[in-house]
Amino acid sequence: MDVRVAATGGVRYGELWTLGIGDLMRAAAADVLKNFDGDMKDIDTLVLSNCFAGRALGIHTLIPLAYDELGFRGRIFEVTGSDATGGFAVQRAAILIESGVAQRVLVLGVEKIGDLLASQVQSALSSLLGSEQVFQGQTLASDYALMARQYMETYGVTLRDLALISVKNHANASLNPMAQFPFPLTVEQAAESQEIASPLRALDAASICDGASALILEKPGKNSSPVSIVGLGEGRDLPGLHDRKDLTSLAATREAAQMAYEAAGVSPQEIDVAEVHDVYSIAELMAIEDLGFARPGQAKTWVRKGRTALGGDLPVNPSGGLKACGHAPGATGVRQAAEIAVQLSASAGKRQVADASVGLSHSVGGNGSQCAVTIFRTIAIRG
Amino acid sequence: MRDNVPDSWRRQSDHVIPVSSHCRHCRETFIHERHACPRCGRGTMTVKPASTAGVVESWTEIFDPPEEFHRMRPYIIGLIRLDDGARLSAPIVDVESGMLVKGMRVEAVVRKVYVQGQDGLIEYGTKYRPSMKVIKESKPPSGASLAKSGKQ
Ligand SMILES: [Zn+2]
Repeated sequence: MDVRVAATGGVRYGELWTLGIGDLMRAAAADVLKNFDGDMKDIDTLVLSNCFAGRALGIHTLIPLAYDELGFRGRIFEVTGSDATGGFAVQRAAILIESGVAQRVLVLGVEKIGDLLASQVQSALSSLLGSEQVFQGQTLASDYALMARQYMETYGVTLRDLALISVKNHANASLNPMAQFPFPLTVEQAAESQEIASPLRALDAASICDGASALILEKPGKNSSPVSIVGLGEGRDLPGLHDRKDLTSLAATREAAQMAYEAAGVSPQEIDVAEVHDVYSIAELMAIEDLGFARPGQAKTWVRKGRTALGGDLPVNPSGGLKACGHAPGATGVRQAAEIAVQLSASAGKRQVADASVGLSHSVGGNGSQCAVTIFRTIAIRG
Repeated sequence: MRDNVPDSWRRQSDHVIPVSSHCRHCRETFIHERHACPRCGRGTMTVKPASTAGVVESWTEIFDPPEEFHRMRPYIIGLIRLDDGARLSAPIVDVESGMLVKGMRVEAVVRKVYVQGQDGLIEYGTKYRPSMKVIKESKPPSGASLAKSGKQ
């Protein structure tokens, strides 16, 4: 596969009280078009990505809204895939181009969830689990907490190790003007923050917020950007944790990663930079192993030694990740892909990963019931 | 968000009298009625009443619940291995999280899970409590006092 990332854009995530979902869509579209050599007329297909508009706003399809707000008159698709939707939307757009159906696609991820109360946001997140789990009051945090407990016991990982993930992501975010929380955090602050679902703490969790991100993808051409999507992978798993054999790993990630590496002809050791789905700190630890970077149980050593920090041998979440950029569930996967494209085009400013030419984005839905892994690389411009 | 009488009615039986499904191919047992085996995807499932007791494998205590469960906070969700081999996740009640240990025996009890709105349906479900009184002096509260207190 060779599908080029022509432009990236979006709004800074956060509690965006003054902006409605239509405003967010327009702002992200305007931003990506600003970075694009062309205008909306050059786009033939729009792929919309959202997770919670039905629940938070009672809007069950964004297609009429997009038609109206953006004045877009091409083909429109809407993708759904829990809070991995953005990752799947990028993949859908790439497939449309690779198949010849579309020439140039705008991928627009948007989420407007900040009008809900905190407890209503927890309900919304729980709705990503199995219906019996929802019935009993289980939460996304409680599922990751059960995984964290198992992982910590199996591999001798401590709360401080988990805190190191949040600390690293905040340090990266402090170099990212688009991050929701661009300030540093200490290990003590993270490890001693309030418990949300034991053993996980408040500062192990990403903040669920509003946001919108966009990409323009196109067929390779004479003046194309050198940043290419070269491999797609997807994976799924049983929604109930109790049905899974191993709680120290996400099978959906392993499956998606294997498919993406094979499709791209790339090995995990070749990845220079990765954006992974750190919805909770434990999720980043598991991702480092499930994506094949570290062997099972070894992610803690990587994190303790700073190997995943900026300047380490494999920087993970140079943007600050979900933890510090904020997690706008329907938009995040698009933001992750945009970050990798920005890194590979060497335009990430202070958070630039040196000599990055192969990158990976990893988006997980819910408790690991679905996953999208996308591999990017820079293609040398032919003379 | 989920006040829906017909849906509660359809699911009520499995909530108060849980069943397990045994795959004749994989010889593994799963909680709830399954039409496809979670391991092999085959339809070779035999459904029978689930064991009413098992052991605690793991747990978490939720301090930041969904809005429907706010007045119950904090509460414990356990991973429990039933005697028939099925594993499930469910609330563990009548015990403080500090008293829980791996391998502790628990038994099923029917308890109130959720009340739909002010005057709505009261939904019951299966929760698990320690089989033996490992806890201080406390006696499991009776159904009547539960309804009044609104506690689990
Ligand atoms: Zn089977």
